[in-house]
Amino acid sequence: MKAMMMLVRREFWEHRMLLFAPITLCVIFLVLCALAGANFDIGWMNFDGTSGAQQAMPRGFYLVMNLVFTILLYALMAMVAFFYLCDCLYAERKDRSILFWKSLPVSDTMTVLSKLVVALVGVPLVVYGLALVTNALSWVIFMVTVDFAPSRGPTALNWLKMNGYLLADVFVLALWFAPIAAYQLVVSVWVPRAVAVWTLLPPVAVILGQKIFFDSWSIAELVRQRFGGFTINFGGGESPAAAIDAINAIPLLARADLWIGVAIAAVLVYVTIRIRRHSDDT
Amino acid sequence: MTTIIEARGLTKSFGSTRALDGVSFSVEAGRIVGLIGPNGAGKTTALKSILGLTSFQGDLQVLGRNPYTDRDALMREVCFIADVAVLPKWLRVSQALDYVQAVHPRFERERAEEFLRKTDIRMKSRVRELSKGMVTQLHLALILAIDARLLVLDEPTLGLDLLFRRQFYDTLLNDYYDKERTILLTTHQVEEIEHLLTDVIFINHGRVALDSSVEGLATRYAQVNVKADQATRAREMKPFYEREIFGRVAMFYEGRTPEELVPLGEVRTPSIADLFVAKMQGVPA
Repeated sequence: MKAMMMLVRREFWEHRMLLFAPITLCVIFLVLCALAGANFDIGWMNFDGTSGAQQAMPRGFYLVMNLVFTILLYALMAMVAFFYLCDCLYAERKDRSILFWKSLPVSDTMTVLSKLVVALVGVPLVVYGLALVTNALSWVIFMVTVDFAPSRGPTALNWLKMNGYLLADVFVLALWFAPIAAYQLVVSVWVPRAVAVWTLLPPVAVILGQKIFFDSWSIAELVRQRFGGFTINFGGGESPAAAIDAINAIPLLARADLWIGVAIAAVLVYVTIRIRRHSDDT
Repeated sequence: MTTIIEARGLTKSFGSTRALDGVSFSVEAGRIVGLIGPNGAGKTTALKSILGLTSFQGDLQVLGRNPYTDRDALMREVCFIADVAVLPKWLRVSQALDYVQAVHPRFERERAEEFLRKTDIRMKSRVRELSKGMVTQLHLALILAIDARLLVLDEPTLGLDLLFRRQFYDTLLNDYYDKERTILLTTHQVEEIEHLLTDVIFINHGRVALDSSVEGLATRYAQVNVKADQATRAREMKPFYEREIFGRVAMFYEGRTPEELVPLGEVRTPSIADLFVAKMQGVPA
């Protein structure tokens, strides 16, 4: 376990973008919050905070800003994770450091699993924590600069529920996206160069090939569902409670396609481990 | 005597070329073995097989294990330096220590730190900021702190200046080597290591061309700096190699007694470097 923790830390040492990119976005957002808050009562908003409608305005503004920020943050995370997975078993071959890593008593299984854990759980947990802290800080910034009543914000219960779901989602979505990440590992451990191209090319070729020769989009649909299918009840209700339920991914655990994906991921991870056992600096 | 490495009919093909062609040798505990051969002879392939970095045919046991299927367990007792390029550029010195400490049960951090204090290497530096010589020192510091039974060095001093090379081997002999530990190394700079070797294995075209202890070489091989008037007689004694240096002819013999050779000229034990050249050029490929 101590060794596994170190392998995970090692990934964050090498791939500093994993932390640097999301932290930068959070800092930018907080600066924007401070600017927006400090300038809220001038210009087109003309806010004086007396009427109910005007009370609602900063709250709505706060919520929308945070929603946009959170979506951006998770989109950034997806991008960072994509490039991380491209690089994670390729860089060590490119710079020959694989000879150093393999000179230590760490099995290929441990190594490959550590990379999978970083991409599917480590990075999402970091981003979850960052989002939590940033949302809280932006709340404080708004309270100080715009002076709107905390009671008008989301209730404590809803807030807890929302963040509980988001935390659970990290683990559920780790299983949901495991086949994608495992596929990327195979490409990363295997191809001699241009990993990102080799990651994207085969699925695009297969999808277009199916369309041209069989006039069907069914594989494309499968991929689309994997990327969009987890937002099961999105837009399912008007009330805050319904909106919060929409981000709950736990029901995915009852779906067969999640577990089929996990099984495929297991096979791909095994293939990755076998290939890394053969890999050296050539 | 404990056998550390036992190879029987070790074979490895890349396509139609055989990098190793039925190589057999064994390495006993406490020896310092030089694996010497020209480029493309199969040295690196042999080392990679021993380290579990590549699959192979034939029988190979390192510390009683199959290195390919048992690499991670084996690496608890085997250390390996390939050449200076291998430590990743982004790694900090302190991170290297943290990492090895966490994954290696036989790593003694204090020893590595003590060695590093004697160098100009700072804990916060990244590998990319260090000179080639310092990277090797760092790697050596990690290795010295690991209580291993077998150390494998593949061209460890490639691209280093003379001072660093000398210091590297001095440290290895003084601070690392003891009668329990075994070292297997390859290098092109044979002259520099021949005084520290106890055994040599020459390898050429994927086969073992010579396998002997250094004491054994002295009894088996002789170099005669032949007197000018003895050249014809000396050739009749069938040297396996001859070489002209500044007008004098040196001939190399295998299995001749000193009594036979003394009349021909000055008899001496050939250096490993000379013997290597003689063996590689004398034997038709």
